[in-house]
Amino acid sequence: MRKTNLTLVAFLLFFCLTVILSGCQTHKTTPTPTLVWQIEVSKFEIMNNLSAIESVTQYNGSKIDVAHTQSPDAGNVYLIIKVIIHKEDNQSTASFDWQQLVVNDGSGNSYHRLANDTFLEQYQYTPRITGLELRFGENSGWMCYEIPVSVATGKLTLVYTAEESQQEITLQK
Amino acid sequence: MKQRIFYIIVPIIIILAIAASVLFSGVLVMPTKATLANATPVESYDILEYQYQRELNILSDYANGSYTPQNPYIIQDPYKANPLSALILFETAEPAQVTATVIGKNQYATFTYSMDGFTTHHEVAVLGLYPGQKNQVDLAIIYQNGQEKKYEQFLQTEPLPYDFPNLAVQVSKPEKMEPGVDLMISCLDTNYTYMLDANGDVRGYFSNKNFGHCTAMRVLKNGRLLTTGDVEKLMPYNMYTLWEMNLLGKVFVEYEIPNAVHHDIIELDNGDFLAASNNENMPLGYDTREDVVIRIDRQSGAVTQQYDLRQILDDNRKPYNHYDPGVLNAPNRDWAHTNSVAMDEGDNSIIFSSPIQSAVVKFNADTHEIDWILSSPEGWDGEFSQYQKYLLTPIGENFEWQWGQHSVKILPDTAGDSNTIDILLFDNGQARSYTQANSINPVNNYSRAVIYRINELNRTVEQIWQFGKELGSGAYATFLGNVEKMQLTGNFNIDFGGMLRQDGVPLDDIVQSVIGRQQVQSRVVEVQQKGEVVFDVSVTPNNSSDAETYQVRKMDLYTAAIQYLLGDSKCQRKGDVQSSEPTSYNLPNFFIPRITLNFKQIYQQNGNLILQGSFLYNGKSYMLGKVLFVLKNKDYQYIFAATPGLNGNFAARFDLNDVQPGEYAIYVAGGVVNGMDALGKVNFGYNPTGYKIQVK
Repeated sequence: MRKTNLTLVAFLLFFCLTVILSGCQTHKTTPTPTLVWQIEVSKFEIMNNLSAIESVTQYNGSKIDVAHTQSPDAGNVYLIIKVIIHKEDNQSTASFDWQQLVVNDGSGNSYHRLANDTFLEQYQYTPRITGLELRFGENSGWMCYEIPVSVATGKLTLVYTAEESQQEITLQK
Repeated sequence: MKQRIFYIIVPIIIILAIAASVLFSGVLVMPTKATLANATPVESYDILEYQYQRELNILSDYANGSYTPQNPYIIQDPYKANPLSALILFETAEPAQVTATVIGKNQYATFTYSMDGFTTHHEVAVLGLYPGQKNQVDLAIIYQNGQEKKYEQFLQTEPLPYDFPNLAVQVSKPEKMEPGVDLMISCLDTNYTYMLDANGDVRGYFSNKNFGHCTAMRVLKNGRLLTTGDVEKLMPYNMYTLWEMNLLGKVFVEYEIPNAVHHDIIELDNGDFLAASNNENMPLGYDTREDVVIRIDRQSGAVTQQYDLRQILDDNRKPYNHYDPGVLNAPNRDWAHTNSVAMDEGDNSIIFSSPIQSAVVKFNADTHEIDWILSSPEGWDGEFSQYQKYLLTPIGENFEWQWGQHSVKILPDTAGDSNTIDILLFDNGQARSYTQANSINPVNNYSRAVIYRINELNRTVEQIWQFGKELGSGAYATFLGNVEKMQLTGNFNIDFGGMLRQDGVPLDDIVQSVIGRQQVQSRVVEVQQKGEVVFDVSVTPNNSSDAETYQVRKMDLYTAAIQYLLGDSKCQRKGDVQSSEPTSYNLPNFFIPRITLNFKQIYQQNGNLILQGSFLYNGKSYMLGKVLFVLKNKDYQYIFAATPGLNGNFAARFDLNDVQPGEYAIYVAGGVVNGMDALGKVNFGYNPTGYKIQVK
């Protein structure tokens, strides 16, 4: 009996550890030193949808839970990435062009950042990185892409193309 | 058997004794190397330094290139303050004057501005971009020989934030409206201050919600906007600082006001400010609040006069109202809630509005002698009968008293009678009675803008204009709001600022809304004197409980405040900084891990630690009894008291000048009260905040 318990505990520990580790996502960066702008991915998550529960006290004192949800188009998932975008070459006049920052899947398809991802802050992805043109300095925060669910488990790469060079960051799951 | 018990009991006693000695030695609440290593450092931040450095960074980046009118340097949201603004920089070979035009949906929404003088270096401010679209900005370059060249630029902006209020325009007749934009001023730090054009489109907003709330923003004679800054003395709107700023978000001057400013501030003829304020020891060292009017010297920033309204009115008078949160044994009372100040420089007198007293009072600034009280005669008998001689006698038809009023202004004389003074105010109409028994239910109530003509010689008051009663309870605003008469058209801009609604039904519970438990919406109406509505917009919440509008102010989008050069001069700080010294308190020798903090602000500035946030006890918000922050390392411990607010909110500025240099872990200790009696049973907590601070 005691041995069974120990086995069970060991299994549970192993299982929990596996779950925890499988939830951690890392990334592989291919820095290109010639780029004016360097991008670093500090985290990323793939979400079928976003949800948040807000506890709201009613006029009579009772509380209700108000659910907020945000879903991508059917067949898609959200790819939410936390980045640091830093201007390496302070002598350069190049600004950061968001149109050149795309996510590529293994089949060669490219995806642009959502035109409106201000909802991220409602789901605690704070701060969200601005979508305005960047001119200098270090800029960091979350941004959101929408990609087909079918490519979400395959190879995904964040690519920034500028000044005839490219920076690729493999988003490793 | 006894021996066996002895061998069991003695070790247990020894273990318990060791545990107790460890527990009560305080060693458990000492920061360890690991505590400090894992804690988040408190960053240094000073908006004046930050903005100056940002200007230098822009100039440095600009210096890398060669920019012309065809290919200018564009930086959007240059101060990270108004995302619908930009700066365009370039050089011209010959001196030229630049005119910028932001193309709008129609002529009333198109904004044009010309920079002063002819120069070769140009820094052109762009205001009034639309959100979430590509905006066309035309630059007209006029040279001294009369030659003119035009260039088009296109600026893509971001959509509005997810929690930006919904705006529903019911009426828009731009050709009949006062030119300019409506500055929609927020009341709480959960809403935005933004600008609307004549079509009701958003053309600018401040992304920083921590400043400028619940205080009139005024356009000064120098074209700058005067508003409260971002350092809170008492939640939710008593602010230590005032800013002179522009619509790009640049702060030119920060005034430090130990008394804190709330609700209203005006510029006097000589440039000084008059503000609704407090005794400087409020809130922890004084028993009332929001009952002092102060005068601020513009040059030094010092408070030069304090008019204590308790010397003018009896603070024991208690009309029925909905401002009072009903806290028993509260540390200070809000008997006046002064929300408007005006100065009659003709006879050197001050007019203030107390919505809680439903009274507007004029008194002499030198003698403090009351001139008159504009108020219903209800409640001025008995122990308050000494004030009856100041009450005005109503005359004329359709006269109605004001209740819970806001925004009192002196209008220019149109009667041609030196004995009369015309007073414009926003009559919220709260309760419309001194007593609860006779109070009007909100579903039958109304709010309105009203002009009273007061004959100071005859001691009479006449109602000569009103608008709003005809809107019924649909525009009833229990609290907030303002009205202004505009110069060019003579139209009135009216803000029905705090409309409490549940399922569309009007309510009166202000406190529930202020602590975020009740939705609040608003409505802004521009009306001609004859009663024709030329603009009507409803503001409702969107992913937030707040869509209040503290005040509306029509203003030019482009004022002289955008004419300056980046990095030209460092912004100034004036006045006297007030911050809390360390205090003493017997803290437990072990942690009681019950407290979670959500910081809205935590930073160091010029030897002070500034904090603002909310406090959860066991995951829930309560009325706060005491909030202490403890800075501790192995050698020293300093305890500071923050000012508690309703619903677990707190604010603080701690003086670190006497704190020994070193690294400190920051802990929080505090008690919450279950219920609404400040002296009720206190539940205490004490645990790390997860932050550390380096004191130099």
